[in-house]
Amino acid sequence: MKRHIVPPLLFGLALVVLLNADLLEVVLRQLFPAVREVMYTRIPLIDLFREHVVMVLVSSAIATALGVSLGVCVTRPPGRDFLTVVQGLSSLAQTFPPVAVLALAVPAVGFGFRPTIIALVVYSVLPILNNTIAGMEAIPRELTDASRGIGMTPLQILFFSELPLSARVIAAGVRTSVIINVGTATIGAVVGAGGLGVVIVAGLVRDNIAFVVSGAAAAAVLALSLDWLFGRLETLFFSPRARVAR
Amino acid sequence: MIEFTGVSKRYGDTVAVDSISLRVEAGEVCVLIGPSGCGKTTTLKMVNRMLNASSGVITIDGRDVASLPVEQLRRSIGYVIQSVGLLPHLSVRDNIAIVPRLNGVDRRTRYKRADELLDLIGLDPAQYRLKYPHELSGGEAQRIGVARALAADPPILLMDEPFGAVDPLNREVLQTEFLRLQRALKKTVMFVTHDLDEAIRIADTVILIKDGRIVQHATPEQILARPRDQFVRDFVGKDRALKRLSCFAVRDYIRQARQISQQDVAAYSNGEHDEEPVVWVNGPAGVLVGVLQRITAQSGAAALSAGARASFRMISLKPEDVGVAPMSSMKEALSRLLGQGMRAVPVLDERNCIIGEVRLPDIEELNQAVL
Ligand SMILES: Nc1ncnc2c1ncn2[C@@H]1O[C@H](COP(=O)(O)OP(=O)(O)OP(=O)(O)O)[C@@H](O)[C@H]1O
Ligand SMILES: [Mg+2]
Repeated sequence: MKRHIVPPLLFGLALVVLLNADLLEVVLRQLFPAVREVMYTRIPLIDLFREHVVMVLVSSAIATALGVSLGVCVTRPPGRDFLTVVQGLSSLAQTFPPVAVLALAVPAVGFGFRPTIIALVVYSVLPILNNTIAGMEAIPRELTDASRGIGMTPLQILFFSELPLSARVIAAGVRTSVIINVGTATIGAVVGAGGLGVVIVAGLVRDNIAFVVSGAAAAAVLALSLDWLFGRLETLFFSPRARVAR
Repeated sequence: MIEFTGVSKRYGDTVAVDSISLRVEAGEVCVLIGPSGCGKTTTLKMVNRMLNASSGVITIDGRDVASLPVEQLRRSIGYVIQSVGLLPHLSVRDNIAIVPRLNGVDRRTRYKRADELLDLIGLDPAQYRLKYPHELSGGEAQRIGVARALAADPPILLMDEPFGAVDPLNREVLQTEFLRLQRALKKTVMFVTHDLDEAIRIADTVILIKDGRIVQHATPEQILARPRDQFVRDFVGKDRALKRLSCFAVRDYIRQARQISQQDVAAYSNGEHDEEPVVWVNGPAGVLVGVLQRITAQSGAAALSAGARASFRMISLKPEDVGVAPMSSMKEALSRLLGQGMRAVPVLDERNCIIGEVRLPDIEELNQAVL
């Protein structure tokens, strides 16, 4: 039990330091004595952090909804013909640099939050889609047959047996894509969507290492805490009860 | 009642089931048996429309299965398969109560029903209702599968090699359990198996299938006594006369047994007797302890003076080694006969007291029906 207390304490401590301007300044001065202006003062880091979290959550939610429904569609008998096409397309989407997606999205939807969300969704849908398909395909034929034989409608088979059975694999895909999004969301700064990218970009432009480190550290702590949270949720929901028999 | 009229199933050019007509009466256990790939599973799956017949009509109580909404049809038919197919993320009681749940039965009624069914299949509800499928043995999982099939109290059960993956010892336990349930519930059952002994044990009628056609449809006893052709003869095996004996229960062939109590052995032995069949000896509380054996002329010659007429002695027997129960099969009785080298076997009640005996000539007479 004790081991589970340590990571949240560490993450909590790191967040307190990063998001409290006074504390952060003390630490940064210690780390970078040569830098004159260690604090990015135009926008408090805590606001950028909040924007970042919102971008990650919104894009991950959309990517999850899209990835899971696409994955479900192409594993139904009528959609099966599109399985390889969809898998190919989403692989292609991930080889596309998110900045390029951003460049294409801005003319269509304007600057700010929306093109960033589009880029993040396009970039992070693949792991969810792939895992949904893998999870569905891994369900033993006898199990869906048994569900059919009992008298479940196709929709009931989906909700009573297929989705619960592949939930674990799908959740792993969501976890991956959320972590990817935390990193990728920093590009939002380029098109004025805010987020932790703002400090990092400012640091790069002004050659200020303290800015870059504070933005990157906040993103890293966010990624690590979300990853830890997902890990906890997985053990809570998926073990030991839902272990697949045999 | 299930009725097939000219039912076929074709996969492209291969004919899996070839114009089958059959009838399973209400309350009857009909066992489909035959070599692998002969079309047993296909036949079964057409009843609940897991497969649709290519031609022909299947009716249940006169109604064409093709005319019913498919999910409703399936919920009214219990379906048990070898792989069981319990949902691993649901507890035992949720698995059992899944069909009532699909039918919109409320949770409390459902769980009460699940407990009833656990009781019915001989598993303690308190111990099993919250278990998960991966915590069950193969035999337990199979019973839960049967409970699930029974949950909505369907009049019909389809069972596809339900005990096929269970070891022989447990299989027999499950068969006994199935027979007990069937006597109480009187479902109309279509049961697929590879195992002739299983078929003989549980079937009211057996349908022997070969290459998608019915070769013989008869009671197990008839199939063993009068195989229709060489294929059936080969399928049932050279020991069919012996196998056939398992179709008969000891209870129908019990004859009165001669018995004396242990104190009377000496007196009896000194008396004058004709050629006796078999005389059993009872100990305290009427429990079987032995059998009298005539001392034959040769073995007794030395002791046989003019006055001494002791012509019997008692051989001790262990009742559990020699006796059969009224519910046992005549095959078991014969096996006991041969094992003990006697002309009769005692039929015992639960306290090992003699009810009667089964005699060798009766078994021989039974076998005269075998062609
Ligand atoms: N989907 C299918 N496509 C083509 N042929 C099939 C299909 N399903 C079954 N068959 C063929 O139909 C025939 C009957 O199959 P079925 O499964 O009914 O046999 P079975 O009697 O149940 O055999 P087993 O005892 O091995 O289970 C077999 O020859 C099989 O190859
Ligand atoms: Mg089969």
